[in-house]
Amino acid sequence: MPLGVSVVLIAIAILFGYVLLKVLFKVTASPEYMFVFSAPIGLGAIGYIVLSIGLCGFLNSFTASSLLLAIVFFSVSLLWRYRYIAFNTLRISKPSLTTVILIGFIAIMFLGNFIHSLAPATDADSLRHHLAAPKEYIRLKSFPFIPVFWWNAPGVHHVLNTMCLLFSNSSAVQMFVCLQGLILAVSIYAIGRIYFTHYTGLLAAAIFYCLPMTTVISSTSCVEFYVALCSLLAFAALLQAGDPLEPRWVVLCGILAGLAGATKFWGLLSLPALLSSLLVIHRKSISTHWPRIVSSAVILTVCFVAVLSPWLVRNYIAGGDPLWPYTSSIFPNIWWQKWQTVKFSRWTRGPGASFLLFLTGPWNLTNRAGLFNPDGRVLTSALLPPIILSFAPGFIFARKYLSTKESKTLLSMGMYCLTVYSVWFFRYQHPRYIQSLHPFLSLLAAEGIIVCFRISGKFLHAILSVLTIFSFIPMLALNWAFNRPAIDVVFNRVSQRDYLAAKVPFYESIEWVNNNIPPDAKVLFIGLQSFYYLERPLVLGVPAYQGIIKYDEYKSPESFLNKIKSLGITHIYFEGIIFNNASGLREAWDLKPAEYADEVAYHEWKPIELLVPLFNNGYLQEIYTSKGRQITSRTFHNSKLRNISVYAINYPK
Amino acid sequence: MFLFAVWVLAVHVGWVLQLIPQVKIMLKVLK
Repeated sequence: MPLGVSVVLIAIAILFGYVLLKVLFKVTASPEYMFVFSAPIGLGAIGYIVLSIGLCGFLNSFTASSLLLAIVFFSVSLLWRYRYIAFNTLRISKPSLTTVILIGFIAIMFLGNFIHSLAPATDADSLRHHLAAPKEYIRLKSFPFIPVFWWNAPGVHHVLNTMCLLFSNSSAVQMFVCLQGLILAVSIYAIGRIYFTHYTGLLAAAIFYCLPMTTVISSTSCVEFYVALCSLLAFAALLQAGDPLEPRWVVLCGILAGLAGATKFWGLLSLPALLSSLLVIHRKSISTHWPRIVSSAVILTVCFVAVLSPWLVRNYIAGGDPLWPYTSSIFPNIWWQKWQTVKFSRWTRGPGASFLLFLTGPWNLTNRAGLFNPDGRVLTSALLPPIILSFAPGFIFARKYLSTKESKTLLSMGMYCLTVYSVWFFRYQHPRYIQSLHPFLSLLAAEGIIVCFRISGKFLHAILSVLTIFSFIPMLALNWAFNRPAIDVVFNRVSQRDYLAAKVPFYESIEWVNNNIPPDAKVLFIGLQSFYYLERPLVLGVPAYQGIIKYDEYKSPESFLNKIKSLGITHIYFEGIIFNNASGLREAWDLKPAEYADEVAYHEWKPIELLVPLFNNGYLQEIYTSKGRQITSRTFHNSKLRNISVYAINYPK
Repeated sequence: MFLFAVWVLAVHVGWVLQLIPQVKIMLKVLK
């Protein structure tokens, strides 16, 4: 069932996207190009229609399935006259041995990811956002503004995840993401084949698909693949617009960039990156054709903003801030306080932000990967194979061996990467936030290798082949290490329950809550882990991550009690890790600092000042306390024991 | 091209040096 749901959704999206491209944009391109462009456009269109249905409050499996049937009927009836063209232009020639090896390599990697995606969800971010938010949308039958950090980022992909969850479970969402990874690899191949060579495309697809981050994302519900797909194809549309800057391709470029931005905040960087690429592509004709270049930049920006606007308007009307909470300093609102901005602005990653580190950043990302992880681990999804850093700058050294078209494409790709990298470097150096560059880097590296092959003799051929294989083998091993545990649960050698208990943070505690508190209970969840698996309505209660409960507003514990009563809260789930790993409220009181270091500490400890008096006065009754496992690495089976408590609330009569 | 070859070699050596301390962990997981 999960496989069926994800395949049907993607197939319908491709069909719908194809119709939109053919009928609305009157686009003609090679079959593989039409295929790869159809996928993100169709998914985006479905996402926006479902968003409209949800905003009207009609989100349910009946309306969703009726919509999909209507799209199929509409698309097939419109496409009927194109059926001969579609099949006649698809030619498959006999593949060479290298082609078979590279496709075989991608297929093996895909198989591991595919199996893992069938296992129940264990990824921490998915259990907090990418699955938890859609689950709440289904419960509310709508897509309202919910003031929980990360939930209100424009969320095209969250709408699509909601579609999958409406018909199936978390595995359907993961399979949906896994298939997007494959479509992304095909897109990389298509762009590589059209602008360089067949082998560039194939090698780039293999490089992208071997990355540990690709492996990890493939079996989660994360939104990164869709961002990368839209960003890459927006860039491809810009290239396709050519010298006359054909308006239909510029519009398509703006729409795809908008979809990237409407999926993840970091996707917003596609706009400046595309504008800088536009300047590089047309750098020689700027003086003569500047009106056309400026008007194209304006069209691109307008389309980008238009695609984003439904989310911006919803957030502004409901939350007072179009990009809540990231622009709350510009648009002050009741759902976000200054101290929360102060707290998150202190988050840093990476070795620092000096000019020297900016220059050595790519080296550090490849050869000092531990610098970008808070615990200094190297073997994480952030690890990059040496093949990218080695060969991506190859086009600079081998310019004289490249055609003008190849040089222009590579230079504009380099500019795209540089723009995104610059903002990423000076804002927040989380390796996952530049995942959208991986397809570009793979293409740059692949073309670097192919050019080296083109100009080298037999001896260098052998060295290049060894280096390429050298990069691929450890990536295959990492793919196996990451995906292997899922085989046991997918083939029923381990029960789902045992698998989840071993991989999901605090799963046993959440399971206890599901089995022991009344079905009509509502939970104040003072924690950050795994709440997708909680089968009761919840209100997130961690001070910094939400805007529903502002603890500093309550002058007495009793007024706070009235507030949570008005929200219908019956139980409190308490993760000790939020308060120095306290074992329950009483210990949290003992661990509370005598004097708060700053405003942030005051607000973060404020719940204890309100809850402990309630506990001492008998309003809260501890019904569960245990040590739960906080999973720090699913692959290497690392965990730390943390305290979890659950309280029932006795409201005064 | 000589410079490029040195660059490619340096990147690969740097990468291997980074991974040497990790081999034990990797083998343990792969077993």
